[in-house]
Amino acid sequence: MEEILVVENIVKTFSGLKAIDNVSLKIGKGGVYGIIGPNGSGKSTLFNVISGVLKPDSGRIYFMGERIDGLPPHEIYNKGIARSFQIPTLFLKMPVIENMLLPPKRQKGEILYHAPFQRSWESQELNLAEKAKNTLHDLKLINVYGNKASEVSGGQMKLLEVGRTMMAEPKLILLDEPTAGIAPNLAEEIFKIIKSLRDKYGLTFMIIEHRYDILFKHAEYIFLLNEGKLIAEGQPSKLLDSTILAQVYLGD
Amino acid sequence: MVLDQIISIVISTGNFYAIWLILTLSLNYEYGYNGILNFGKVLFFGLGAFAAGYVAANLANLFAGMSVDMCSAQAVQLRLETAKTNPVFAVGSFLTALAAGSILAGLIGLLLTSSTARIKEGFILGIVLLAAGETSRIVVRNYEPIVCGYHGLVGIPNPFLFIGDAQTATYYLSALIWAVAAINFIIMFKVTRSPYGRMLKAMRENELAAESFGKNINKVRRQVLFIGSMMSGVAGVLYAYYIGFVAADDFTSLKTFDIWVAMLLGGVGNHVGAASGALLVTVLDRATRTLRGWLATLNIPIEMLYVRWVIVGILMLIVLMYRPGGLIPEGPIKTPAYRLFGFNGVRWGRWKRS
Repeated sequence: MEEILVVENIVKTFSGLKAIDNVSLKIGKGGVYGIIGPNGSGKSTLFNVISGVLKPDSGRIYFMGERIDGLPPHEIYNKGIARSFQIPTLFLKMPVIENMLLPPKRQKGEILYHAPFQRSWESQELNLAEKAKNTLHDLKLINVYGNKASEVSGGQMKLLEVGRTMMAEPKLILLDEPTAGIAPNLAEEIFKIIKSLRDKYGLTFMIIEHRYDILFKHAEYIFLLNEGKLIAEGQPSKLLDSTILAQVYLGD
Repeated sequence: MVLDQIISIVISTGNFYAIWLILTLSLNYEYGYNGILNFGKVLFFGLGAFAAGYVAANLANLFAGMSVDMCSAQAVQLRLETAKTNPVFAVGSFLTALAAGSILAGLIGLLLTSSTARIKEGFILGIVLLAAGETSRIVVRNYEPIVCGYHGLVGIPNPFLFIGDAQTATYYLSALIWAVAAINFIIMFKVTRSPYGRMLKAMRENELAAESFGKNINKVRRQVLFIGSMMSGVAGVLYAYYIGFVAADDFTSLKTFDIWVAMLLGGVGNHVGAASGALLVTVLDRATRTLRGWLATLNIPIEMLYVRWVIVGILMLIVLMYRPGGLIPEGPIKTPAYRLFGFNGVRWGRWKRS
């Protein structure tokens, strides 16, 4: 399988604590990858390093053959990696629909000298709005489209986080606990949407998730992190068969 | 006689309002939309005014082929006479001042943002701007070659003096000031009711998320401060030409907070709100000043300038308690996207309460 993301020997330290300790992994194009591990095992830090929010202490990251470690987040985003956050980082005073319309790249209306001339960006805006409307429909958020993001429930905030990354038309999407705090049937729905997007656009997903029942059903490959180290990887069924999962989560 | 007085009060209030409007709009663009804590508005306002004085004084000498001390009474006479007889000087010096004042203010704004861009905490830029404002005032106050130091520069000629008497020239200048303010309002309104305005607000709401969605925060912030400062510079030039006088001590940091009060009272993140806030502050300012004159002639010992601060304080309290978003709080950015959902679906009632 063609590799879309290659992480090589990444180390990230916080005040002496190795949050990520020499992690290397390869992500194939078009896959749905799960990342699991106990709290504090470095999953979110790994996402922060890949998306450029944090700079790694050492190591290299290649995205589609191009080295991206150390680039600022907006440049990495423009290369095609979008992410959601574990704790929703919405634009709280803005309506849900405006939260959805922010991510798309190359919006003509976001350029200062085009902005006052509505005619130059109107058609693009309407296309994006159509897309946002459909996505909101899929995520069952259509009823709250006009509410401020601060006025929707916690679960809806998570859904909006996921919805925003989908508006970005990226090649690789990093989702940090997309179903935490979401009702089981809708969580299942989210994974179905994820898979349908993968099939439709050939997107690649990396998903941090604690809900193994759902993740193991839908993910095609799992990475297990513990104390900053990558200690196991493989297909869900193989990982479930081995004892390592129980060791990490339940202790010996 | 009374009519004349009313007309002149209306015109002067209108002019001060127009200038105040430009300043409030620019602060609303910077803070209301983009969340930049600009505590140095007066710096850019002042730079425009100082540039106006400097340009007018030096060009007058140039046109007259003389080199009189620009602070002398002779120079004041020279400037006014040249403006009366030479339209090229009158209009030319005004346009040069407009260009110089706005570009100077814009560049200084750019320089100060660039120097603090690496630090993510917004208040650091705020403090830098506040300090820069006071520094520039003190420098101008003590360095005579700019605008005559402590005494200030008198006799910045009305650019329309060649047309007729002082009264007529004032009417023309007022029309120009209002036109500039109106253009500023229309442009600001259109610029921010767009995906660009949405991006500015998103940066204000959550920098990390905005950057993770591909928005170049530093670049946009520099752009905003450049344009906001240019607008303040324009306001400064208009102000100097309107009152015909520029002195450093007119530009203390108190003015900055007057502009903040106008924006906070009117509506943060809403240009119509900002415009109404500016109106409130200007009318209050003019009214108390006029009253002060009357009270002085009647020997009533009340200092209206301080009464004004009391009123501003009470207004701020009332607005922050009952309408924390200002008189006309911000709403959604109604781009054509809302058409797909039907405008009526947006619950305006909900916006007012938070």
